[in-house]
Formats: sequence, structure tokens, C-alpha cells
Amino acid sequence: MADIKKETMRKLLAKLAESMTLVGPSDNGKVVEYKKTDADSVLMDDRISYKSPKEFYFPQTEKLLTFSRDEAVENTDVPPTVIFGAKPCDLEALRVMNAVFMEGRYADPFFDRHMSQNLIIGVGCLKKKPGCFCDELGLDMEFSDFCDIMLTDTGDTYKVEHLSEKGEKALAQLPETAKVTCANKRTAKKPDGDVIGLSADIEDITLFDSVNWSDLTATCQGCGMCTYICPTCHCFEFKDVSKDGCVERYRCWDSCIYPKFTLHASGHNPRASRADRYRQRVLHKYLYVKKNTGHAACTGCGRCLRSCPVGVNIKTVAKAVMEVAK
Amino acid sequence: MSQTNTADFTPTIVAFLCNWCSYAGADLAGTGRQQYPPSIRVVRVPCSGRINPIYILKALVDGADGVMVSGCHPGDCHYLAGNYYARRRFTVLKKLLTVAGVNPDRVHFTWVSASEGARFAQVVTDVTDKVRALGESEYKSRRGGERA
Amino acid sequence: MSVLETQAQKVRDSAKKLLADATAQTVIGYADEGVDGLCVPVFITDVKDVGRLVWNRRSVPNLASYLIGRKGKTAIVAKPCDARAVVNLIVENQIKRDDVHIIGMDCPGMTDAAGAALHACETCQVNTSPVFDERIENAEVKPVSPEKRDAERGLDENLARFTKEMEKCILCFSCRQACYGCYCQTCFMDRGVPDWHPESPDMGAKMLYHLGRAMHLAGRCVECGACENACASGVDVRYLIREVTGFVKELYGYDTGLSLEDQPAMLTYQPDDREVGFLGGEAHG
Repeated sequence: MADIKKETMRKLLAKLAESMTLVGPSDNGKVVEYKKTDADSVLMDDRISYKSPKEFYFPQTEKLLTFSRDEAVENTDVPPTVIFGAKPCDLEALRVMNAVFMEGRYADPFFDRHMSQNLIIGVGCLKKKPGCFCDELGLDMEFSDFCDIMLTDTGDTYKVEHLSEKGEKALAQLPETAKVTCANKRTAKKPDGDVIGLSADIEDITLFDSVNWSDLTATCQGCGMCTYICPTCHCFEFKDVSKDGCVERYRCWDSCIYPKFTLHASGHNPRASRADRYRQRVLHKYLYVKKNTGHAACTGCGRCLRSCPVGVNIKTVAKAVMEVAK
Repeated sequence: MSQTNTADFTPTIVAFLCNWCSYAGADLAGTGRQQYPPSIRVVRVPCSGRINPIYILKALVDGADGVMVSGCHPGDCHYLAGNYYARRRFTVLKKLLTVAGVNPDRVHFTWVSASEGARFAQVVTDVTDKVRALGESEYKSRRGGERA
Repeated sequence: MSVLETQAQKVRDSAKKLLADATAQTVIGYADEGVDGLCVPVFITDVKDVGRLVWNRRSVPNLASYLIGRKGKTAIVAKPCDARAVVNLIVENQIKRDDVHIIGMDCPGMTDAAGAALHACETCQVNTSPVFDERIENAEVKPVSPEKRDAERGLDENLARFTKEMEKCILCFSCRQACYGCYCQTCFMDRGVPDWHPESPDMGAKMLYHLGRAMHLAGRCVECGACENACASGVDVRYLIREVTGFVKELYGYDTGLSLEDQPAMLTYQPDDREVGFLGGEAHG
């Protein structure tokens, strides 16, 4: 571990930005968001972005291939990107995404390309923001090792540690005087107390029929914004668009909160009500992904709590679900 | 915009014409051998009141250089009042487009009756001149681009 | 007790009475149970839960849309803008006047988490409910100052502003869901044939959506600001609709949701309506 000044970090980012796209938290005048920016204007304070940086490894719309009658050309064009300032909740979420897309029977080549091209620089949180509940999920708000470089904010300086070869290489570009020498790797703090979670052994999901879903989600307006800003939501759909005699296939975000998500061609919708759809969201997060990958797909970043226009609280719902699973 | 302001540029203008007056007016312009620029692509609709403002937006977003809408003169609507409702809608739409930075000369509303073949040709000529002066639509590039 | 707290107490008393004598089966109001002090909507059906109801300057969400499709008589704690929304829903035959009991709140204006007045509240024109079954007064609510419209801008400036706002938008459609007036069963943006929604969240898609929605809300917006409060990306969602609303008022003299009798501006006409912006007609100012 070593200390480097924030100014030096900006210089390093500027250097990296010469060959890569720099993405970091920036202030759009009303809220903080991750977007393409430059080394001078990237925010280095403790504010949290309203949405997660997932669009830079799982874009909202991504062209997968162009095909005609005779051939199909895969889109391999992925801009190398430096993602600066991802919070530990975002990094833990990336671990989940990685498990979803890369582990198991199929590996997603598009996600893989993003992961191998991206350099991810995490920054630990200094304090909990309103709505944050990473501690209740057993995560450390200051540290996650699922990144290339981890920074800890100490005022004018960052404590730096590199967690991958890619990170080490990037840090080697620092000016001679600020070289990071050792890699005294930390590990995440273990949680104390109970954590929100369901056992992955639950087989009978009719158990959850006894949860009063319609009352718990009565106020939900069904906007689905929670799924767009969530760091772990990863549902998508495909869209084919004909263009110049070829067809372009896109992968676009979708959301289980939208009625169209499960609408059959016949007109039947197996998840007809908002309560049904919210049930899917909660159980998918806390149970189904856990069954498949071993990780719960919620990292307690609190974004859905903070941004929901009518204050629907996933934590309350998750706790009600845990009650019946006891 | 390489083609801007050149006299050879023929803009693509989507024309929404009501079945009862303006479409018949266009027919009359044809049978009367009236000359007008080959710039319009006609979409025949039952009534100007049937035109959802979204159609006009969609035409602009999908690459039309201009849009022209024409119906029966107020008072002459085949369905009695369709064009009165349309008039309010188009008035508001044009204001909205201006506020959103769309050049008002790209979108035109007018009335042409079934007997006004010559007027139809004149309207198309005028509209084409105005749109041509603006050059190719800047909204074309708004499609399929990278996320702004 | 502060004036607001007195109002809150009156809300609770009223809710208790309405539920006890079965005037209403449900009372929709606010509970102080959100993050950062945000009051969230709550449905009270039992007299013993009445204590959850609050009223303060963080009672932000517009509750009117919860009335659509509800069975039985419902009482609603309505800010003046919510009451206007309820009135317009009645005018548009989405709910019946007899099915709703409007508890009209005099409103001092709502604030964000930091205590600053919300954008919509800064320019509020109606701070007492125009239609109500009972009014809960607040002596501190002063008459509003005359409306200030945005100054006319040139076309380039308009375009620059539009582009600047739209760049922030992620097309999540939460403004639509938060809007009382967006009650279409299937929004045009969700339809598959024709495919209005282009594949990519680019400027074209945003232009279609925001202008299309603004057109649908012409003469229907009650200026509650629910759309901009819902926007997590900080887009000034309402500025286009604000211009349209002002224009409709100026041209057709119509204000949404102030009376149960008025015909909505876009559902009626005058044979001599002005033809602003038509070929050969008046130009837009």
C-alpha cells in the first residue's frame, strides 16, 4: 500500500485517458453520474452516483452483430475504458454480473471483451449515505477486491493498492517519485450481526405466496427506474433492426418491472400485476441468482431507495420475504 | 451537410393529405397538368383530425427533410369538425417543435380543397423552396448514433 | 404546534372519521417512511393505522394516479396540484366524482431533502385546491405571485437547451409512470407495431418520446412536477410541457383541472381559432 496525492492520481488518469476512454463520477448540475469525462473534472469526493457504472461493461444498447443472407459479422469493437471511482457496492455487483455472464455453462463474449478491456479503479466509501445498506448485506463499504486498483480516500491523498496485473501495469505509469512499491493486500471486513439474505437451498417457492405482495408493493408506479440504475440488474432483450439491406442485432436492457417483459404473443401475461413483477424482482435478486451463482444480486447500494419517486423500499420487502423463509 | 443550399438538392417531404379535400386537390393538380417539384411523399389519411402528432415527429426523426400537412378548409370537413380539432393540435405542435429547436420552416400546415389543384401545386412549390433553403435535415443524424 | 402539524392532525382526524362512518373505504395519504425524509404514499384502510398519516413539506408524490381503477370510495389527501389532477381525471372519465373524497390541503410548497423549494413549487400558481370535499386550511399560505414565463429564445438557443437536457435522459420512462396524466394502457413508446421506440437511446428516440409525451399532455398538465421529481437523472423533464401549457392558456384561455365543467382545450374547438404557425397564418411569437 502506498499514498499518492489526488493531484498525482489526476495525472495518472490523464495519462491513461490518452489511450483509453475515461469514465468517472461527474456532476451534471443536479446529480452525480458516471459518464465520459476528463481527468481534470472527474469528481474525487465521497458522493455516490445516482446510477451504477454498469453501462460501461453492460451497455444499455450494444450492437452484437450485423448479418445478411450470406454472412454474419460479430461486433468486436469495444473501446478500452478506465472506470474510475466505482464504489465497493458497484464492484461487488460486478462480481455478481461476472458470475452471471462468465461462469456456468456459457460465457458471454461481449461481456468478456468489456471486462478484459476495462481498467477498474475502485474508491472506498468514507461514510454511509442515506438509504445505503451494504453493511446489512455483509459487505465492506471501504473495500472490495473485485477491481484492478483500490483507492482509499484520506483527504488530499489516496491509499493505493493494486489487485491485478492490469492494475499494477497502470500504476507503473506513475511518475518515478510516486511509484507504488508493495502490494499489501487487504481483505474485506467480515460483517457483524445478521445479514439480509435467503438460503440458496430453498426449493419450494410457493412458500413466498404467503407474502402479502400486493400490499407491500401497492405504491409502486411500475416505472422500472430501479432496474435501470441498479448495479446488478442484468436482464436484456434482443432487437433486430434492418439497415441498408442487412440486419443489425442489438442487445438492450429490459426490466422485469415492465409489463412487456413477460407478455406472450397470445396476449397472455404470466406476470400480469405489478405485485407479480415486483415479486420476481425481489426473489430474483435474493434467491434465484444466489441459487445459480452463489451470490445474492443485491449489494445494498441503496440507489433504488434513494431514487424511487414514491419511496418503495426493497429492504422492507426483502425482510418480509425473509420472515416467511425462516 | 454537404448538400445544403444547393439548387440541385431535392428535399424529401412527407405530406399527410386528407382523403376528402387535399388528396383530391393533389389529384386535380395532376389531371390539370400542374407542375410542382417531385419532393413530396404522400400519406393519405381519412381526415386531418386522424393525424397523430407522433406521425409528424416520427417522419422528422426518421429522416424526412420536411413535413407538410393539409386538410379541408375549416368548416368544410367531411366529418364536420375533424380539422377544427386538428387545427388546435397542429398549432400547439408547431409551438412545441420551435421550443425544442426544430426549425419551424420544416413543418407546414395548410388547407387545400378538392377544387384547388393550382393552389396545391403552389403550396408544394412554396414548401419545397422553404425546406430546400434549410438543406438536409439535421435530425437524420439523430438516429442510430452513439448515445449522446 | 406548527401550522403544518395542525394540518396533519386535521388529516388524521378526518381520516378517522371517514373510515369510521364508512364514507370512504381507503384513505390515500402520506407516511413519513421514505429515505431522506421523503413522505411516501400510504393506503389506510383501518382506523387503527390512521396514526401513520403525516403532512409536511416533504409530501412530494402526486397521489392522483392511484385512484385509477380503484374499487370503492377513496379519500385522497390532495395537494392543490393533486386535486387538479383528480379533477382532470374526473373530466376525462377515468374516475367518478362520487367515488372520490378530496381532502384539499392548502399547500406551502414542497421541498427537496436539503430543504430547497422544488422546481415546480417555486412557480406554483394554484396553492389552494380548486375542488374539494373538505378543505384543510393553512393561514400561512399566501396568494401566489403572477406567473413568470421563460423568456422567448432564439432557435439555436432552444436547440442547445433541448440537447443539453436530453443528454442526461436514459429513457427509463419513470417520468411517464409518475405522471397522473399518462394513464394509457399501452404507451406509444411500448408498442411494437409500428416500432416507435428505436433500438438505441439516442437523440431521435428521446425527441420522439419527450415531444410525443408533451403533445399528449397539452392542456392536461397540472404542473405538479411529479415527472421532474421522479427523474433520477436530473433532467428538467417538464420544460417543454411548461411551454405548451402556457401556450394553451394564452391561446385558448384554458387551465387544467380548475373546474369540473370546463371542456379540456384539446377536446374542443372554436370555429374562429387562431391559426398560429400555419402557412400564410400568424407567425409564432
